[in-house]
Amino acid sequence: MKIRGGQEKEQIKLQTTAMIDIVFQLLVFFIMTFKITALEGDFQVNMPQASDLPQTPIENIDKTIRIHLYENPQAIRITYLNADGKEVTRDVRNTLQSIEVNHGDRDPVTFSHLGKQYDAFKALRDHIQGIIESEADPSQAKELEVEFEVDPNLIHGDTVRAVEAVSARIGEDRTIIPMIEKIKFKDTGAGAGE
Amino acid sequence: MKIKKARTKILEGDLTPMIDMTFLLIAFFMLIVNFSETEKDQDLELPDSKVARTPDEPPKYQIVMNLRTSKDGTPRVNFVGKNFASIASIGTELELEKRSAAAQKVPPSEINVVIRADRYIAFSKVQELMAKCQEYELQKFSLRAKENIR
Repeated sequence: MKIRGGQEKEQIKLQTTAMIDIVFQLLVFFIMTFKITALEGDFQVNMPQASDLPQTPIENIDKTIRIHLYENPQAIRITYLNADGKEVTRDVRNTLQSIEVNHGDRDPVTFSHLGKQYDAFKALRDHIQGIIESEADPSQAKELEVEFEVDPNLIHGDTVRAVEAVSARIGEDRTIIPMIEKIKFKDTGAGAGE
Repeated sequence: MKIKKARTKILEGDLTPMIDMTFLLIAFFMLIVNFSETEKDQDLELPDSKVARTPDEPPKYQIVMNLRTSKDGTPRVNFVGKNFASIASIGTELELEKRSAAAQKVPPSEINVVIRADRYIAFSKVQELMAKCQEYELQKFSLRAKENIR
C-alpha cells in the first residue's frame, strides 16, 4: 500500500510590523514620563475651630503636653544634602534655639539646641517617651495630646522635626513605633487678622 | 550556459520573544507611572523625616497645597495647578474645593489638606495658611515631609 505523504502545511503569517511600531511608541512614552521621585510621608495635625472645641475638663489637664519652640534669630551655617544628593552649605536664620515642655503641674523642662553637640529634638523624643512609659495604663498613654506653640519666624523644617520627635520613634529592630497621635498647634491668631 | 537565477529570499526573524518582552516592559511602566506627581511642586525643598510614612489608606478627599517664598520674600501658594500671590487670595478656590467635596458627600471636616511647605519658610506662614483653611471649616492637615531612610 502506498502511503501518501502528509499535506504540506501552510503557515499563516501575521503582519506584526504595525503592532510593533505602536508598541514601541507606547514604550517610549512611558519611559519618558517615568520619573524617580523621593517618597513622601505625612504628619497628621488636627485643628478644629476653637469654638467647636469642648472645654478641657480639669481631670484631663494632665493629658496635654504643651511644647514651646523658641527661634534663634542669629544666622547659623548648616550643611545638608539637597534633592540631587549634593552637599549644600548655607546660612539660615531662625533655626531652633530651645524647646520648653510643660506637662500638667510639673516643672517645665527646657532643652537647648546646640546642633551637633546636643540635639534638642532627640532629647524631646526621649522625654516624651519617658512620659508615655510613666503612664501606668497603655490606653491612657493614647489619650495624651501635644499642643505646640511655635515662634513666628521659626523655620518650617525645624517645626516638622519637633512634630516628628513627638509622633514616633524608631525601635531597635528599625520599626517605627508611634508615640503621640493627637497633635495640634496653638492658634496664634496669625493670618486670621491679616 | 545555464545561468542560475538568484532567488531573493525574505529573511524573517522570529519577533515573538521581542514582542513579549516589550509588552512586559510596557505593563511595568504603566503600573509605576504616577500622574498625581503633576500637582507637586518639585523644586520645593521639603523637610525630611525618618518616620514619616505614606498613610495606609488614601483619604476620601485630598487637597495638596504647595507653599514657598518667592524671590521678593512674599509667600506663594500653588494648588490645583494655580499660582496665588498671597495666602489671602486662595479663598475662592477653597470654596470651590469645598463644594466639589460636598458633591462627593465628603464634609469639610473630612477633607485632608496636605501642606507641602518649603523647609526654610517661617512657620507663621504655614499657620496663616491653616487659619485660612479653617475659615472654610477645613481642620485636617498633613505636614508633608520627604522620606529619609538611611
